[in-house]
Amino acid sequence: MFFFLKHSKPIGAAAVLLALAASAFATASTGFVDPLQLMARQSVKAAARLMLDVATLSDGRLVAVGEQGTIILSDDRGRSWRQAAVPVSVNLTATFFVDAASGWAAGHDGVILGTKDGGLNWVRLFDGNAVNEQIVAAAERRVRQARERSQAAAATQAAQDELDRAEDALADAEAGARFGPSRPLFGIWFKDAKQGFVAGAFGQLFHTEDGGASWRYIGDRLDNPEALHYNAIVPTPSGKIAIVGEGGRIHLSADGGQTWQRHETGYDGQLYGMLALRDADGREVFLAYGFGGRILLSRDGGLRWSQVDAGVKANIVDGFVAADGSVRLLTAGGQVFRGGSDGKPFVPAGSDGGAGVQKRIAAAIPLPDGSLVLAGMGGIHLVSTNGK
Amino acid sequence: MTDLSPHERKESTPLEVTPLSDVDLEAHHGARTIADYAEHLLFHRRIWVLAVFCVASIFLGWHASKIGLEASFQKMIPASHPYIENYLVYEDDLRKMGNVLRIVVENTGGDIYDKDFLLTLKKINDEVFYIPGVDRGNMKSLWTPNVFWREVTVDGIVGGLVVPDDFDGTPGHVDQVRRNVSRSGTVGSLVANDHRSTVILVPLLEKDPQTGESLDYGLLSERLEQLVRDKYAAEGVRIHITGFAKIMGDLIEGVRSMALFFAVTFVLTVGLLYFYSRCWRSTASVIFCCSLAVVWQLGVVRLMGYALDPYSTLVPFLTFAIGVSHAIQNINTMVAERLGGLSSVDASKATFRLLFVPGSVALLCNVVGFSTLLVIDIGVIRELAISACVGVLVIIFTKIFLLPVIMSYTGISERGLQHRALKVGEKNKSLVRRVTGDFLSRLTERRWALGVVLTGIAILATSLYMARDLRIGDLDPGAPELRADSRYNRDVGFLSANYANSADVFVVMVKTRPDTCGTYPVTSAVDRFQAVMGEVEGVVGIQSLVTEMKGLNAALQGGNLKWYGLSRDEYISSGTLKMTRQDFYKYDCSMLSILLFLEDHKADTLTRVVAAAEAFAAANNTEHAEFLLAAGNAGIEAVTNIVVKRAERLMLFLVYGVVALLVWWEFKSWKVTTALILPLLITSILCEAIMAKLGLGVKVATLPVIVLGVGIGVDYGIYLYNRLENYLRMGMSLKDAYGETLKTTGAAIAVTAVTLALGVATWLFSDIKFQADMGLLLAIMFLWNMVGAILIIPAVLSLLLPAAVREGSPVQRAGG
Repeated sequence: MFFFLKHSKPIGAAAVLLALAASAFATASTGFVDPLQLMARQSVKAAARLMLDVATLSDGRLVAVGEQGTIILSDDRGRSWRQAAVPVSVNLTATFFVDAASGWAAGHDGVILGTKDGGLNWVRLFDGNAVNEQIVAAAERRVRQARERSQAAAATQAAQDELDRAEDALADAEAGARFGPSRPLFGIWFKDAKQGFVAGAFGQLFHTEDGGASWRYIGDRLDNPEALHYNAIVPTPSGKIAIVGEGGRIHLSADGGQTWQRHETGYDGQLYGMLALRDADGREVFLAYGFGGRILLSRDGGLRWSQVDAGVKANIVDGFVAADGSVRLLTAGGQVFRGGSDGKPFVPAGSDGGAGVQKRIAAAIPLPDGSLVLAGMGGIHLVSTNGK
Repeated sequence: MTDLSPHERKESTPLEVTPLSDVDLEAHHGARTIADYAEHLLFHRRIWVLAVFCVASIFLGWHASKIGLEASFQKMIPASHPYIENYLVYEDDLRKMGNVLRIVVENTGGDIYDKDFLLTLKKINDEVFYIPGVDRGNMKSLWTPNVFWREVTVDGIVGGLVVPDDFDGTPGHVDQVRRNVSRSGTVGSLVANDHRSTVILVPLLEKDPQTGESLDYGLLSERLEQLVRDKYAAEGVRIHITGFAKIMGDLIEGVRSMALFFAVTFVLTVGLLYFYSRCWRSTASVIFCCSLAVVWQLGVVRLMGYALDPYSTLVPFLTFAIGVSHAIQNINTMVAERLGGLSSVDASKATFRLLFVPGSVALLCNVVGFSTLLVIDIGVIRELAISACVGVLVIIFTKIFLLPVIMSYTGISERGLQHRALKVGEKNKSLVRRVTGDFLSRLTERRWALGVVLTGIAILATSLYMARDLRIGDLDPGAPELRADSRYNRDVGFLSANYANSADVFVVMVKTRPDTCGTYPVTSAVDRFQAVMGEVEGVVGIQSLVTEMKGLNAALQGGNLKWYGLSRDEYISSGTLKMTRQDFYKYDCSMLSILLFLEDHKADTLTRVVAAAEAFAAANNTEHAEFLLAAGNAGIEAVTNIVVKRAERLMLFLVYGVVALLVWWEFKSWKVTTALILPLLITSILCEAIMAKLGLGVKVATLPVIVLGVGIGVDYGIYLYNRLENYLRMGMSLKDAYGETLKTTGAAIAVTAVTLALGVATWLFSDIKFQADMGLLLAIMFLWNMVGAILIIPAVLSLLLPAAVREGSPVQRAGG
């Protein structure tokens, strides 16, 4: 409701009254239990529920997040799992830890959670209500600036156009907020225990400098007028931050998120993630992957891209660099493909991780012994690879 | 209360020289006046009586011949239980997923991607399309224009028909079908997991939209057999048909075959009766009157607007058996009077006078006993109770009124009279006689009595212990109404082995405001409900609008699982709602249904599911979403189990209460009441123990068994004690009195028990499983009640009766 206060006072007051009346009416007559306000249910089969991301902590603990606020942790490499205490019951889609204690998770309805004890207990840091306030506030800021400029004596046609665009953007932002906190977050990355980013659907990007206590909407810094979705945040070896997402676009920032450069891969579908590594010559190589088995390679920091074949039509949902330095990509069907940064086709990696897995997979991480922890439909699946 | 109440003691035999004092008749003075009046009416103008009966029989016989066969789902469920009321509110909306036939067409020579097979499938599809009762617009198969494949592409979702419009059977087209099937998501539902069979989904219309007539399941089932199963068996395909309508069809088929069982029962009874009486004349008279009772019963039942269903088919058998077992008294009395020197007409008059009051009272007691079944709120049981009462009432007419008149013409043959004279006159010569007379009468000695009673109590205790394993409900897989190895259940087995979802579906309905069934406050609550229910042991799968919407949200985003879930955005939710199958919600979006697929329909599984769903509903029902139990075959069965469990205890208390009260009223002695009730109690509990051992659950079909068993079984005791009391009053010791009782009535009791048991024993061979169960249990109860009566009643009496009575001295009334 706070954003109303940024209007002129009389309107703001009236709106607050209206909103209060509406919410009072709502709680009195409906009794709707909002999953955003509901502790995650303790489940006897938590590890078998839909899991969407999994992370390894520095002490080897595994933490996986999934549907209806389910967070589970394992201290025995995935054999047994226990469920964490989580203050929300919405689907969680991503998690990230900087050490054995500090971690974060993000999910549907704009939820960001934090933990200080390695994933046992979580607190809500941010949610879609705040998301909506910030996005609308940012759009209003833009309208105000554009209006000032267009009203200036030397107003150009460009200034007038910007005002139109800004007003459209505000209308979109307000429409998006109409149904409450409804936009999911998908990507999360922290540089250290203080600095972090969270990205999500409809061009959402948030930045924190205090370990998640406060978040600032910085989606307006990126060139994304269509508000396409962002799926992942990836740090590069040279210290840049990459955001990959819809429309085959990759946004890069070399200054810690202040300014962003947009790159087109030539592909216009969804990219779900990217691996950024150095090849044998020390050059930075980007391997982006996504919808329909798409793999894209760039050796020049994202300027030019070429396609890499893997002979697979399934979505590629996750990837990692294996112990031997080669790259593994994982399809939604649980198949593992092996390749490198040389542009040669990816090939199925030995005993494919999906042999026994008919479920749909969302994420994977390798364990030191070469086996894989897969997260997806049916929860956690442990599969061994042939170690190559 | 089959034969005899106190009054029948006067049915004297040559050995019984007691004058026919009318002490009891005088006690029932009003009844006596009626008896006098009736006797005059019957015997004054016998020919007119026969004429009246003849006209009535023609009228009722005509109706009986028109009686319909029926298997009504609604009557087999506890229709006024709140959960069933919930279901009935939405019955029509649930129908499209409830009353559906699944016709599985299996290619015996390979997979379904075969030109000949696909073309045969098309022929079957068209054949089914024209069967009356089929909801053609909603039929679904590879050949109907409503089965699509979908594929997620960069541009969104593309799709088309699984079998292309212009399918011509070329290999290219067959391959296309193969590819389309794999991306249609129908494997496991419309196409078998092994791709060797495919389903034609046939929703049915309960009422014909043109004529308004109810669907005739018998006819439908017959047509399916002829037009589909038999016709295409030669074309290299095998047909499996499952669905509620097919169960009903098979049940009706089973009822039809009961005619044969009746014929067998009939022949066996004739044989038994002749063996007992050695007189064709009386045998024929009795059989004629009892058959007439059956005709009348069917006629009256039809006039009342009922039909024969798989449960009430029991009644003609019972009517016949009760009729015959009572009529044995007529033969007995008639023979006695003839031997006493009366003419056939006078003997018939005497028989009528002697049996009118006791016979009527006994039969009316049966009616009272049967009416306790009315407390069970299940249509078929109520109809069974009413129809059984009708059966017993018509026996009053045909056996009490008509039989004596007929026998006044036919009389008793010489041979019958000689046989009887020989049997009764015999002085303890045969082994049988020695056993019954000497051995059994020892039971009245306290030493033996104590042994017998203790043994009885030991049996009772053991049975109680064994009966702990007694379960509620049905325990076998498949349709519980039919035998596990019936064709229907083999078809169900095929379906569950080759397709994804189980046949046991528990449906929870969610009531919402109109047009809100897809909105977030509703769907998020349903999502939480599904999460809870998915963890209940025995739930193997869940399907609903919400499951579909969650999947669609991911599918619309390129299949990205991170989008899998529900959106608060009403533009998104109404968009996905429109893309889901309409089967899962009411047309105005004011109710959605959640299908829980269960591992089995064992009572424990159902109880767990009900408890979990109830707990969730209690904690989470809001104005947005009200979770209502229960529909689906497993849901209905769960409610039936609840009702049956509650009814079982209540009914036991009622029937024992009523019977004990009647016995007490008749003998005015709690000791006698105890002696008569104890063997029944042992039999009832023993019966439960046997059920537990055989793996038979307490269910709709077994509930009436106890009532029928107890209601009819108490007759032996009344019969026996009646006679015994008579001898005691003559001053005999208990031992002598019992010996005499066995001599005169032991055989009659045995014949009665065997007649009753025979009446139901043929049911063991019924194709309908619950009929076989009923037959088995009733036969056991009828026989065991007899054994219990003969062994335990004298033993208990010898322990309870005062010494004066035991030792024998002329006292007016035994017991006290």
